[in-house]
Amino acid sequence: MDQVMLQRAFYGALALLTLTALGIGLAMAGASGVAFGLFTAMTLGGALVCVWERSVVRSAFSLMATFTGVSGYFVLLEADFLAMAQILIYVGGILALLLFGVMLCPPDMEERQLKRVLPGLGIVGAAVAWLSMEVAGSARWYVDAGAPVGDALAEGEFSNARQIGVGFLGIDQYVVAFELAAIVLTVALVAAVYIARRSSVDLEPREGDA
Amino acid sequence: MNAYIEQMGLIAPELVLTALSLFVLTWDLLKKGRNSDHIGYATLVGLAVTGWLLLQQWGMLGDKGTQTAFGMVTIDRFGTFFKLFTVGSMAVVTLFVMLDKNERKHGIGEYYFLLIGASIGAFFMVSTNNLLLLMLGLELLSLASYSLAGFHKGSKRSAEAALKYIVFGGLSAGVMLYGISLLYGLTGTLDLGLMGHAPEGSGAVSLATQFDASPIPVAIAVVLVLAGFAYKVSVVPFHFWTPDVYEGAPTPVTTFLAVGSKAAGFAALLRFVGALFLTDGVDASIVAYGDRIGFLLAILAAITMTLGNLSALRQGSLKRMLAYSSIAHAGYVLMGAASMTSEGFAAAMFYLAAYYCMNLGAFGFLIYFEGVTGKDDIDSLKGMGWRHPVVAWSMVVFLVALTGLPPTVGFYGKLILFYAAIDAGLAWLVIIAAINSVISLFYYFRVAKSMFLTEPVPQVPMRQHGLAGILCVLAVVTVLAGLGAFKDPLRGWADEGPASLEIYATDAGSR
Repeated sequence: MDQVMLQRAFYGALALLTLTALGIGLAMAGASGVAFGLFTAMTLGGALVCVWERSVVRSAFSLMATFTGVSGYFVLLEADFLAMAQILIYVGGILALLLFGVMLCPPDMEERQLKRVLPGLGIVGAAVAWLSMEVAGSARWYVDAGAPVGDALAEGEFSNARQIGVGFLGIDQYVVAFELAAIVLTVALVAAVYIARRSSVDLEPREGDA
Repeated sequence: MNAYIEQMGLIAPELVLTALSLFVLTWDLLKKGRNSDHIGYATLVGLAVTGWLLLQQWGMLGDKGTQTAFGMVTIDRFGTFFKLFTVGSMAVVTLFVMLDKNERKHGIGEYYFLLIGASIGAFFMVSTNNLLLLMLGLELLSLASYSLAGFHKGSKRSAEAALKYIVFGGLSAGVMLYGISLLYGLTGTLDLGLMGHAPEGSGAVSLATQFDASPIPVAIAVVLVLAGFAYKVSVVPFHFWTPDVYEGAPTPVTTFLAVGSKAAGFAALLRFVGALFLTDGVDASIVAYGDRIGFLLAILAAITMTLGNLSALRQGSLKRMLAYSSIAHAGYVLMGAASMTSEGFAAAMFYLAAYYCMNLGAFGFLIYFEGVTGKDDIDSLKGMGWRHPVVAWSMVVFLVALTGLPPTVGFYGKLILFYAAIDAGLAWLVIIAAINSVISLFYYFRVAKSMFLTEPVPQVPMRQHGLAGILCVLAVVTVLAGLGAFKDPLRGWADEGPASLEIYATDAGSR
């Protein structure tokens, strides 16, 4: 089977997956189920295309579907702030950066060989799927009895953004983690600048270098 | 507002380190290109202040017991022990950077900044019961390590090391986060203490309750998190990155990875296992599961030390040999964790302290030797013993200690570990470890043989008095500690750690 045929078969399977997800969603929970199915199809489909596509630019673009799908989950979970942040940071920031990176790099002449990736992909995918099924089949997830649902949410007495803001700055909540994240970002920034900076010294081969 | 200031006092060492990192970065910017040693001295002063604060804290904790800052940072003697360890290894690594002839002085500000950043990550990683903060600390430590591994930008090996490290590291962080998210979903809390034992009204479900209801998700989650730790301390089968990264990274960075980073990983591992399975108040069902986790760790320890030692036998490069030897030593330390008792944990901590002396020394010798010959293979060591006797004899001390022979601290460390493992009913593991020590004798003494028993090859002797001095001091400490000079205080310190984790004392006959 040549690459083009493989490609077509893949996209056919993807379309089928989307329809199945929508169908299961509709059967299980009506309208919100359809939304869940759609977001799932977007998330999974985007990730699959990212691995599958031979062109790096298309791979990067397909992540947009994944990120948007995840933000859809947050909407379904009534986490408004997280949904917005997901779009702003991942689609607006990280994806744009990724595309810049891809486009600024010299084009990769050696296209990825799908057939070589397939066995590994299959094994890892099967393992993760098995793990998830085992967990989902038997786990009794924690339910927070005190969390506002229904009316309290609808009346707008409850806002994610406010809660997150208080959580980040509250003395016995997440203030240390919030500040530590700032240090992590500073370190990452300095490291990135150092690695990316070009200088004549760095281009000379070092002694003892094979 | 007062509460903020009061609690900031508790994390003063971390704050000093953060300030130091920013100061180093800014000063390097202002002094661009001129005498980089000043930055090294500034780092040493900052580390000394941090160490002093930690010692104050150690004393304070003796009076007041475990403290919590900002609801997330747990200040206890266990954490302080490992913070002192981190500061100690950072100080020696800083000296190595200053004295290493191969280390380019270009970009030195960033070098120190990243090293200090890694230490800040290690600090938070070892002193929290909260998985979110633990993960952030781990990521900070990892991010800084990735870039440090690739710090020699012209070098192909260095770039390869950084790339391998970041790919494996990203994967293991993902695996670990998946485990943490499962734990959070099951218990409704990120706090290890609450996971182990959730009192009425805490709004969380303890792991034991969940384990009784359905064991599989709990088992999977715990194993996934342990896999993340296993990667950090390079335990088989998560060790693939170690030899290449250790070889390609600049040698002082390798030293930090082998000593500081590994100890922080073990600290987090011990705290995780201790809080979930061994503290007072956890239910019997999860304790039984903890025993099985202990057995899993014991098997991993056996495989790790055997594989590490057997691979080290075949190495021609001293740096690569030390990398495999550090994998083998991770196996020995893991014995302490696998015995699942407070004695085992204390033994692991004592062994790490011993490992600190002997491994810093061995890597220091590597830096000295690379400075002299420009190579890192064992064959070019020929005749070092006659040309550089002081350094070579120091190295012999480190080799003896790494093998675990008397009269060094390495022997005593192994002895405590073996006793703890036998008490925990892991006699088979002790036998494997003893066989491994014999195997390790061969490759450690190949180095000594090369230094003393072969004809010297002609080389230009370059004396590095500073480095030789540090090695001497480390060697003397290794021997003195083994002879018992500071054995008891050190042992006392190591015993304090598990005590502050509130791990119940197990009676040996219970298994």
